[in-house]
Amino acid sequence: MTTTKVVNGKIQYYIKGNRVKPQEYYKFRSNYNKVK
Amino acid sequence: MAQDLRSEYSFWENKDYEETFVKANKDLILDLMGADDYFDISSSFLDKDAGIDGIAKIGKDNIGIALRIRKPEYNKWRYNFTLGHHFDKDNSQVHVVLNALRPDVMSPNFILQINGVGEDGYCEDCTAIKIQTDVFAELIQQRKQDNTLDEYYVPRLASYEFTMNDVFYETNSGVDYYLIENDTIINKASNDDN
Repeated sequence: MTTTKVVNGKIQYYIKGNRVKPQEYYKFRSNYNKVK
Repeated sequence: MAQDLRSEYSFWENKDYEETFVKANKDLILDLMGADDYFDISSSFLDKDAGIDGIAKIGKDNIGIALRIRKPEYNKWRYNFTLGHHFDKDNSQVHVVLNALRPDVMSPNFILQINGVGEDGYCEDCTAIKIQTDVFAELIQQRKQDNTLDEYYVPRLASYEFTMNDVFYETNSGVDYYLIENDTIINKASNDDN
């Protein structure tokens, strides 16, 4: 659902395939159920 | 009491090393965090008491960072994530991590550890681990409760050493690894992709 790519030394952030700002990515990801 | 088998260790020498890295390589920290700016608060009371070395500004979000760097001579542990000092000690970084589970105190939001940083702050061949602290805190809490935390303690380093497997595959999210060459991120692995 979230992923990142490294392009020319910079990280690009994605939610559901859409590129987003880092803060949107972190906010979305911090809501996950974290520990297995 | 836990053993500390390290050779002579200088807190301030290590601080100089960290500050050299931040001065020489702020852009790399910005790239790793996706941040607009980074403010070094190393040696402040927030560093000493709460383990927050710096603030990464990402849009309007201000994120506390516990920054760790490790020299190339520790190459054997280049994929490891480290928490310094045994839990029995007041200055153990385990306490800092567990504070992330408390809503009433400050703690670093992320821990950023960069392994392989030269004395001059240059990253010729480094690995970086970025961990969302509360995610890791839940894992540490579990290890404490099942009495397995000490299995990760290495007396020679006076630290807990967690391998990539320990942190990357035991959590669903919040753990990222990066490969860095010549101060440039060249690859990444995120446990979001698991």
